[in-house]
Amino acid sequence: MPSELASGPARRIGGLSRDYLGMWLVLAFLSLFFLYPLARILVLSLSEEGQFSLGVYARLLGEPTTREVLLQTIRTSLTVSLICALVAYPAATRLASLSGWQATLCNLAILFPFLTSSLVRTFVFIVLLGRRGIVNQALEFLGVPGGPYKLLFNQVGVVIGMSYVLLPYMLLSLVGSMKRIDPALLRAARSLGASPFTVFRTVYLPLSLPGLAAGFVITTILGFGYFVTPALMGGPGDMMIAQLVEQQISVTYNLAAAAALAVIMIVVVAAAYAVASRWLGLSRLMRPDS
Amino acid sequence: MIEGESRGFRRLHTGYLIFVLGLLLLPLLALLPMSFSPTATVVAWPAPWSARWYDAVASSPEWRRALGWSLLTATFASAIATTTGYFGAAAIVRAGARGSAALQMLLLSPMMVPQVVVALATYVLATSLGLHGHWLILAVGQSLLGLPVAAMIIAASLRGIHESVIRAGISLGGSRAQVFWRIVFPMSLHAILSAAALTFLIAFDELLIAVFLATPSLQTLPVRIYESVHYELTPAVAVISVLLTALLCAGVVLNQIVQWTAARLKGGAR
Repeated sequence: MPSELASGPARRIGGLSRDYLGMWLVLAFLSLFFLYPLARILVLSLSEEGQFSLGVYARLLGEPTTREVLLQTIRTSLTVSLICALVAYPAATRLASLSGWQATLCNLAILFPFLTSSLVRTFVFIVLLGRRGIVNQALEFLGVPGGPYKLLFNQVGVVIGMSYVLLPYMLLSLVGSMKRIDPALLRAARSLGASPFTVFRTVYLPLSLPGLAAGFVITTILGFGYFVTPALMGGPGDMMIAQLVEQQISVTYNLAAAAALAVIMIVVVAAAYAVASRWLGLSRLMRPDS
Repeated sequence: MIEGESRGFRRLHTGYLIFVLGLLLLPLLALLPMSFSPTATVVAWPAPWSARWYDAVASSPEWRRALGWSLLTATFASAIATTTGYFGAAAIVRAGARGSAALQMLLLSPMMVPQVVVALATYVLATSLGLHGHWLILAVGQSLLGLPVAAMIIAASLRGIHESVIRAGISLGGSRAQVFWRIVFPMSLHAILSAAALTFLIAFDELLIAVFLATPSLQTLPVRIYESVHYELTPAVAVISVLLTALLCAGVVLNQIVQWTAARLKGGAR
């Protein structure tokens, strides 16, 4: 927007430039509805009987269950991101080279599951992975021994379900970065005598790494905070941290513990962002395809 | 991709892409047969097919009420997120480099923390305002999740409007309101519509805030689906899923048409 709109004494009302009215509105909105409750959460987690205390954290982290849930959550989100990266990378290299209607069609094929309710996507997998589900029937039909497999209400189910839900994020991030790779560089490397594999290894792969890293960070952070899939597909022993927060609110009514868990989650996520943005830059993380 | 690959490799590569896209799409297609179950259990391929559960859902006041609440909160959430997102985007685009980065950070913050944190924040807010179980506070919480998305989409579009266009409008005597309604608004309309649609979807699909704020009389569709999958797992969930997916299908196609039209208009103006 041009400076003309922002300048001129005639445009000032009540001491506030009209252009900044919108900005103040946004600031007020976020302060009241987001920053204020966040501050309350912090205060709730740091006080006992009106006094400053780290007791809530000490008790929470003193319990082996909490530590286990935290480790389990980190392990699951990293595993899911790794699976997403391995499945998506080869597909994205092909997808990024498409153009015209083929590219549009493929993008729609990613966008559609991406926008579908995560509850719906989790529900489908609960049916497909059941003991008499289509996956077990297919394995039996193919003569794979040892079936029917228990693919549901355990860690395997959670990892499969979450990988399915988060795969589109990885694909979009990878395709975004691969589309920006200048084909002239690849042609130049070829014309200098490199084999296609050498071109891939020395030019294409390094140039696509930022997109891969961004996708990995995004899926890991989303996976870390995930609720729906682990809550519906996990067994009693595979609780993730978001479930623990929900449990503190809906079952045990321990608001201070829920607040402390939320603060721990923010700290973990902020650390992940800080580490990632040292190499990637934050804007790149938030908008992998721009 | 890289020149000089063998034809066989390229075929294999394309095949793999189709395999992955199939992996993404086929489970959603599997919803359709699931919804035609003649019994109370959900199976991937029922025999014989029966529309029984469609009747059950259509005549169930619970599902209808849940859908009503979801439509109401998602509509409000989308309106709040799109309006606030527009102001935020305009401020980011207009502000100096320093203010812009800080404001952008703040606007994106609800998306950077895990959703359960936003849900807990809304719960704490509702409790401290004495509005627990009020649909409006639910809509506000859901709008927080959509706000970053709306701001990013609209900011991208506002950056694309060249300053000279607005200068021309002002120099020809346009008032601020005229410049907005006759230049900026039409030029960013497709982004505003996209933002409105996406924030609606985000709010419509939101589960945790709705779970935290739910009361027996305020249950949104995701809460109803969640409880149904958790405790009953009847084919009614498959029916609802099919309906939601069909709606989304229509939305995606409509959005694609809007984007194409916007691109064509832009191309024609050049």
